[in-house]
This record gives sequence, C-alpha cells and structure tokens, in this order.
Amino acid sequence: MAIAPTIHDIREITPVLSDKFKIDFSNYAFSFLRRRFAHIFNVLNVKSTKDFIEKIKSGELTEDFSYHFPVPDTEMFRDPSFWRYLRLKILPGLEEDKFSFWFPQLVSCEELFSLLVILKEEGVIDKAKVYCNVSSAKKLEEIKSGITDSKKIELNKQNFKRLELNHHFEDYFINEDGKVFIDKSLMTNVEFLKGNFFNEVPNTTVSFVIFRNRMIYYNAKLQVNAEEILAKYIHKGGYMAIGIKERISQANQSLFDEYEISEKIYKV
Amino acid sequence: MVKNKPAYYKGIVIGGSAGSFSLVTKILSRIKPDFKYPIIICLHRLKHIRSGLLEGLNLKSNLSVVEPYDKLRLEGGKVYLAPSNYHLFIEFDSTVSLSTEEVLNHSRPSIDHTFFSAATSFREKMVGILLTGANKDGARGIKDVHNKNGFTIVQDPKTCDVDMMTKSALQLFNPDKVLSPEEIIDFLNSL
Repeated sequence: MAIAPTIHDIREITPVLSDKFKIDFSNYAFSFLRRRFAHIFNVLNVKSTKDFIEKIKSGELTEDFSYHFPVPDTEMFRDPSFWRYLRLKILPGLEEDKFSFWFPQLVSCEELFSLLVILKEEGVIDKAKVYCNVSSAKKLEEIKSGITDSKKIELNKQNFKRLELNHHFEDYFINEDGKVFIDKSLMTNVEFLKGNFFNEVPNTTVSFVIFRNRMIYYNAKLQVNAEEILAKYIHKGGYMAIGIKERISQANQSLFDEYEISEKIYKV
Repeated sequence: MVKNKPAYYKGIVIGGSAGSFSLVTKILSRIKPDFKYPIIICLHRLKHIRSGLLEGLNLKSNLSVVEPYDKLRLEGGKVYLAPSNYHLFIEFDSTVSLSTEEVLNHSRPSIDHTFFSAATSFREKMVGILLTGANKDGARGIKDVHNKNGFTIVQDPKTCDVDMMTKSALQLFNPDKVLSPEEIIDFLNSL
C-alpha cells in the first residue's frame, strides 16, 4: 500500500525536485504539495519517501512525475462566458498579423481544444499561431493524438451548448469506436514547447496568454515571478486571461490593466 | 473527553448539501452582527452557475458574505463561501487556496476537502458544523476535525431535509454536539 507523505517528507522532497526541474517547488502552496504528493505516491505506488527521492534523482521517475503532478483542466469550455467573450469581443479586435496565443502550462487538452474550436468557428484558425508548453512527453503525445477524456464528454457537450455557436459539437469532434477525437486539422498551427515556461518560452511575443487556474497552486512569491515572465512575452496591447477566482498580485498591478474583470482578462 | 474551550477560534467551518441553503440563510440572518470569527461555508452547488447563491445569502445575512479569491486572508466577522467548481482549502497562515483538482465524492467544492485542510491548519481552534445533505461528502472531513481536537457539531438528522450526510458522519464518530438548527444558531451566538 502507498504511503502518505508527512510535512517532513515534503521538506525533504521539494529541494530534490527543485534541483531536477529547475523550479523552486517550495514555492507551491503547501496544502497543494501535501495533496499532490499523496496523489503521486498513490498512483505510482511509492513505498517510501527515500525510494521516491532516489528515483527522482536518478531520473527514473522524471516523466511519471511530470505527467501526474500538474492538475489537468476540469473540462472543455470551462466558464463558457469567458469563451464567448473571447470569440465576440477579443478576436474581432485583433490585428490581422497578431493572432498568436500561448498556453504557458498546458496540462491536458481541454483549454487548447476549446481555443481551437473558437478560432475555427470565427474563421481565423488559418492565420492563428498557438504555442503550448507541455512538461510531460507522454502527455504531449496524448494531446497531439487529439483524443479527449471520455469521462468528461457529457460535460464538454453541455458547456459547448452554452457557447451558442453556429456549428454542432460533432462538427469539431469525431467519434471513432467510442473514443472522441478533435478534428486534427485544427491543430495544424499549434507549436509545442517542451518543458515549463520558467525555462522555455516562445521565440516571439504573443497577443493572448491563457493561463487560467494555474497560479492557484503557487504561493505569492512564485505567482509574482510567473506574472513577470508572462508579461514580457505579451505584445503591447495584448491580453492575459487567468482563472475567475484569481487576481494579479499586488506587486505586478502596474504590468497589467484590468480589461474585462468578470472574466479575468487583463491587458498589457 | 470534554474539550477545553480555546481562547479564540481561527474559523467556523460549515458544510452542507441538499436543503442546506435555506438553513445557512437562516443561520446567517440570525447570527449576531458583531460575530468575531471567520465563517467558511462549503455547499454543494451547480458547477456552471457562478452567480445567485452568493447574492441570495447576502440578502439576509447579518455578516458580509464573499466568494474568496485565491490567496485571500480570512478576517473575523466575514463569511467565505466556496466558489462554484473550485475546491476551497485553508492554509496554515489562514489564507484561502482554491483548486480545480479532481472531484471528491462527486463534488467540487468538496466539503471533505475543506474540513480536512481546516482541521490541519486550525487544529483545536475551530468549530466544524455539518448540516443536511444527500451524499457522504463531509462525513470523513468532520471526523478529521474531531480527531484533531476541533469542536464538532452535526445537525440532528431528525431535523434534516435529507439525512444521509449527517447520518454518515454519526456512523463514523461521536461529535461534541448533535443540535437542531435553532440550537446551532444559539451555539454560534454564544461564542
């Protein structure tokens, strides 16, 4: 049976992870680390903290850790009003050559596929460029395959309906032997970046950063750090969206102007 | 074991599901306006409806009710309602952290999650209250509050619209009090 990590265990593990992944893991919210390590110990059937640390150091668990540590998106089109706002208010105002988007931390397919559907619906997908940082090689292959999570399919469809688009869900998603895939032609202009955005960034600035519900797992210090990095890669006049229950840190208020506060869209 | 009453409480945590909205409204409309501790409320709610519940509670509440942003610090005399489609956790420094992690007991927000984290952070300096509800979420969490010496109250199942949640808790442990809604209000106003 897997064990649950103690506070002492967490203090032992975080420096090892920080060294391995070049991110200070002690800057994640403590209660999150406790839950997430317990989750990882459970799914990987970790027998002891010592064993876990050794396997992280040796690289044996690097991929498994990258796959299981970040929290996947809950669903496609989460907060449909955000996606409606993006479609109806933001996209029509973007200049022709500035349809560039960045997901600094893509953990699963849902946010990316939601954006691709919206871009296709508005007829701008061919001129769009979408950058995505994905830390796990296994997750990257899953996302590239276009497969969606079958457990979320009903929820995804319900959210899709709330968008009130002109097309049907089935126009974008194909059912093959009970598995649902996005139309892969929508992924033509997606460029995947390996690793995390603290170490790997697009080679250009972008118009829109989508970073919803990612900084809720950071402590205040790491949030400030993340916001500063992201702000550098947004064009002047570009946007960043964060989760509806997140706020830009006090320290970085000068970097971001509130644009549509109910959807937590900020302008740079 | 009779617990010693602490000099102060870091928080009062209330969990509930089906039928608890009207009861929580009643509690907040009768609580004394100078109540000095933070109240954290985790109710099961529809994932895709962001508004309505908060406004409904604020209509009659004697205390200000907010849906906290991530990293907000708790303040005495305010009520914090777990937002739709987020779990709500309490950190050691009495700040709120939110999460979109997997559903627990088919719920996000999950009452168990909120109780577990509050029990760890507040220990004996909290009161946990479990109200009427239609699943088992909250039962293990309030037992954890009890195990960490927090004061626990379970609504008397005879007074519940749906008694599954409270009966599940009572099968797991003996809380400090089993109270009717009127008695819960009196208890809170006596703190």
